[in-house]
Amino acid sequence: MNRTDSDIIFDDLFENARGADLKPTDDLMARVLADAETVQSGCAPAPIVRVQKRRHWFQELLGGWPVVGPALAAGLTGLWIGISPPVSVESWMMTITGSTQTVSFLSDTEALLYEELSDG
Amino acid sequence: MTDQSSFTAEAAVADGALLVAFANGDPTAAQALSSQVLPRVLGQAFRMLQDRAEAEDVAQEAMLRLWRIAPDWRQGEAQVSTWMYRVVANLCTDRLRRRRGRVGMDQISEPIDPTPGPAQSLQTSTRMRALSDALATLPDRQAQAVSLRHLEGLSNPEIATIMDISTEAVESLTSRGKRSLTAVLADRKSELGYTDEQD
Repeated sequence: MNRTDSDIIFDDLFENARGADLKPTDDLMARVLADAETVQSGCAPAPIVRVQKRRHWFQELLGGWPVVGPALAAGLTGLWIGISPPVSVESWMMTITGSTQTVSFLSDTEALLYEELSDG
Repeated sequence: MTDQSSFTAEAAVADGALLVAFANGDPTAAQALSSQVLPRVLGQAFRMLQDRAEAEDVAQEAMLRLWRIAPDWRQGEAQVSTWMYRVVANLCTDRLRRRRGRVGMDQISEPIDPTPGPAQSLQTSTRMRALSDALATLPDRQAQAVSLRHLEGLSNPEIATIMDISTEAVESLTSRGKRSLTAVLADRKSELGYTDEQD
């Protein structure tokens, strides 16, 4: 087979292979536009940059306000229970310790204002 | 033959402007740009791969890369069409490279989408698939240069821009690629239904 025939085959094949651009199917177009929407929703708007405030050493120790908040609440609750224990707590404490103990953070005068009849 | 308008200045400006609009959040830009670009991209992929499903995968991936690069697109520095030709050519040669291991060149692979009907149509699709498989035997750069030249009908300077090489390098790649392809296809001439006129 001479060179000219090879060229003819080459040219014939490529001529047949060239064709008009293909019309995309509706499904393909939908996929392409879905990709575009996904990317575009990530492009704009510009991300909001949160300025990190300096945290108090106490916050750093405990791990930030999300931790401090509940801890503080728990502490205040415990304080309140100690100042004004519910009856059930007193009963439980008497069971465990044989007595209840009151820790007063108040002056003697102020404490008189909150003196519990059951204190003992 | 591929519509050469993809390289006109007007088309370049329009595509670039739509891409910038897309990056700025214009909700209509993607549809408009896809209508312009997707048929060309799909056509280029199909001409190289001769497999509709693979061509659609390549086209979708190429468009996805276009969306992603939109925020970094600089009007006037490059043309969307140039960039897309390059991306599609690279994606197609990736696919062809994978095909090399699956299809031995001592056999002609059956066309993936045989067209029912007259035997001539089946023969045409067989030949087209054979051409695509033959491209898969070439080094990537030769396959790209030959495809851009002989399937897309682009000029050597246009191909040089797409492939980011010199015009002389394009001529060398297309020349060597054509020689190799011709040799591969000549060995298959009877299987492809080409008779020697001298017989």
